[in-house]
Amino acid sequence: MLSYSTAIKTATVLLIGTWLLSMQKHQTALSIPKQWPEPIYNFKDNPIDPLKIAIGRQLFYDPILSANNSISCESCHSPFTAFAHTDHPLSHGIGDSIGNRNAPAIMNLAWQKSFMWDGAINHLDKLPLAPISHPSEMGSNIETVLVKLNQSHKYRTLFYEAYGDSLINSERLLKSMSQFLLTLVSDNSKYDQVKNDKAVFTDQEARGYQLFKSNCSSCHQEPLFTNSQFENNGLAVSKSLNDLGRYQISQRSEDSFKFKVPTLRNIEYTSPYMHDGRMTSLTEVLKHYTSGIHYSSTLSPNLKNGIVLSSTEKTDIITFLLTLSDPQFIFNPSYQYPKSSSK
Amino acid sequence: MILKPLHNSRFFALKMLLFISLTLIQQTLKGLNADSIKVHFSFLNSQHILNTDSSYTLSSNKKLLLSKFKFYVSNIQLDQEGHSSTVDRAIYLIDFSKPEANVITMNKEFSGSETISFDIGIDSIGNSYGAKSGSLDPVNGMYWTWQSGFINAKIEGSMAHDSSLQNFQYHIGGYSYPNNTLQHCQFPLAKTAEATINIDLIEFFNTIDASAGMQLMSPGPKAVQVSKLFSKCFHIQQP
Repeated sequence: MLSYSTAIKTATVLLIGTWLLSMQKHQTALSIPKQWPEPIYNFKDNPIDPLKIAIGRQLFYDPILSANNSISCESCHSPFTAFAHTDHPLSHGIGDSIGNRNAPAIMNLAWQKSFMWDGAINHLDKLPLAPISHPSEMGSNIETVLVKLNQSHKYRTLFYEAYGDSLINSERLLKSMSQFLLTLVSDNSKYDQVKNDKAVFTDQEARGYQLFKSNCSSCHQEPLFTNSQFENNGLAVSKSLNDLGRYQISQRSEDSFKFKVPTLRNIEYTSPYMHDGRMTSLTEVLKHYTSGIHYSSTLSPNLKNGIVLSSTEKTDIITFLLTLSDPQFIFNPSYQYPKSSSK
Repeated sequence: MILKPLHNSRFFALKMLLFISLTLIQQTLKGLNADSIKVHFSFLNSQHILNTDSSYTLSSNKKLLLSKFKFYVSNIQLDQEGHSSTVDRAIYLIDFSKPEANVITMNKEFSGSETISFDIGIDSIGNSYGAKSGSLDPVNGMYWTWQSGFINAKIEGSMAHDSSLQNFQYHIGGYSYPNNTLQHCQFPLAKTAEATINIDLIEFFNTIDASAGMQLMSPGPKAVQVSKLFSKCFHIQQP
């Protein structure tokens, strides 16, 4: 027989549980990590909802987005490499086609003003349209994708649950994808723990951090490790790609050979480096900045005087860069292939 | 999980009945008082619907075949005694392949305005919105996927010139400095609640420099040039 106190305990647990659940339900924006700026993404236009995140996650891993159901977002953005494409300098797409840029890592997108190496995309919601339509990526188009999804009982059910209507249109599709992408927040590296007084740097990491601050942080600004600007970082122009970078979007000569400054968070996992993936190790990257700068009229002013580092100092910087790794982000089960929720 | 049936037939019939009666009431009310302002769009002098099967004669030796002709209209303003007021913040997609998409009806009382003005295209704010349905839905084929931005106007088809046939694709767009293709138009009104704006494509094709190629598919200085020319082909038709 149930005792009086057990009943009270059960009731309390139930009440707290319900309260926690309702809290979860009412959370409509991401929680902002301490000392981070306000997100750029406007959550009022697309309030966070677990059911919509789940749809975005399904879609992220579903090759239904490509013309012949062969390529998903994950094909080039693996969760285990911070959503970058390890070992592939240039993105691989439909029918073994090869793109002209290195698939970037995906994280902290709510704080990003523009997307792609040249900033071609101005809003996260519009981003999936680019790979879906690109002939060397998914080779499809939004109209076809919507027809396919509307024929899928699984997706119609998911959209009905999330939107109260089983019709799948581009607005719902794109907003759901944004929701999943927005949840990919990396804020628990050793660097973050140090900042939150939960860990301390080793002497070498601390030296590396100081060197980083005086040599690298004007472009790779904390806490996101990017200033969100476009810079020419002194790479010799590849003759085969002849990629003009930001110029292709802005048509302004002062933007020639400029590319978006990428974040350095999780850099340990995101080799190869640079917009065309020409470098495979961090040692190579630092060697470029100290002795490989190719001078041209649009070279970043931050690199004009050259960066001088001894080999010990380079090792110290690399040791610091490894504190930007966030294993919890890499192995977060809620970011991975949605095995259990497939119906 | 059980899905709600999409069309319960009895409910559907009831909804249809309600819809028909509402439409009838609306039509009757419209006849009684003109509290709406209408702007009709036509091309090549009073063509309202695009006929992809027949050609339009531009001059004695030029024939025009149109397959697509659509453009955005936004920021509609009516001016009276020097005061302008934005009467409609909506963004309209005029599409001559759809009979219902060549007229803009604004539910506003007409108070004898002297001029009407609007933008051809979408401004930088509209270009920076997140995902939207309706006229801004990318399924309308008016959105560039490789670079964020709406195509302000799309004119596609071919030109038969003597015995040669040349295809053209004018996708006019670009919203940021210095290649902003948004164009503002202003016309006098004949103090009526209805106006017709005609787009003179004869003027467009006679003026455009075809030697520079009749393909335009990205923002840039050429797009700005074509957008200016396109906006000059808009003329008001007085009743």
